Amino acid sequence: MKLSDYIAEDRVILDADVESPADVLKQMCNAMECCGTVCAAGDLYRKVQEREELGSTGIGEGVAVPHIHTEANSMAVAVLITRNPIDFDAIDGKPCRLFFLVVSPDERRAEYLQLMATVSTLIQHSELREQLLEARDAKEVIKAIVEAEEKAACSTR
Amino acid sequence: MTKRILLLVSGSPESKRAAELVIPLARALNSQIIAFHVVDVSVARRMRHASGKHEHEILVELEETGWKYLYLVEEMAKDEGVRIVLQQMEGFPENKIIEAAKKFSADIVAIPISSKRGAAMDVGKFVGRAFRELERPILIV
Repeated sequence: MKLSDYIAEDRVILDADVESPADVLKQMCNAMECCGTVCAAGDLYRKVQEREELGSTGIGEGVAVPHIHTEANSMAVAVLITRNPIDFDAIDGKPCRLFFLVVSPDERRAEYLQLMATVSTLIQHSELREQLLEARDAKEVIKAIVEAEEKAACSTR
Repeated sequence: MTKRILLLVSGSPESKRAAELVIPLARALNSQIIAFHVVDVSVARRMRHASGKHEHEILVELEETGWKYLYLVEEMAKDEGVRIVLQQMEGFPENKIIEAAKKFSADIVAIPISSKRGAAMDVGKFVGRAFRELERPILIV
């Protein structure tokens, strides 16, 4: 499974001028609505927010992977990179700048779990995190992810 | 009140069984679960010799499997309305479980040990060290 198969340029938000976790999640949910992954950004935001209330999805090193399975039309990932670090109550206490929202239809739970594992593993590479933070447009974000995947694939051959 | 339960999640189906026992406990105690997986470097070294793969490659595979089980346990907790956060570290489980319990101020430490796994490791040494160094309840599941 490749993360790049689930990301599209219209779901990549760069230099987001946001001030709170709620702002982050709302922007990403709006992106999911705009690209047709879900019908209503408001409903998606409410469900993602409910999930966050059970515990932050900040996985450390400035990265958070909010996620939800819901009445989605497809499985998709939105990427948001903030201009300034946001306190996301991550487990390591570090503020976050890199956010990956994973949305999946309810009936694809096995793939959903695998996709989150794929995202969480890939983003452990500090080189990729640095490239994403320095990316100037959505194309560069996707290119960095594709290159990291290729590098990972080469090391496992 | 018990506030935090550190649940060691292994990259195997026994994690699910352990979670089935610990999640109701967390709900009853109104506690948060810290689901915790260790990418076991000693396993990677053993597998390297057996498989011929590079150690880094095996570590990445173990890490991805670990995340998968962590998210599975998270799903189970979420379905029961139990608060949960996930954490993964790389090292030796017997060291990292102690480090994590202290770092996250866990009130209870839950360690799943199957009979199969128990036969393959020095359970007494592992658990005994945890009892000595953690000074808090340890639940073997």
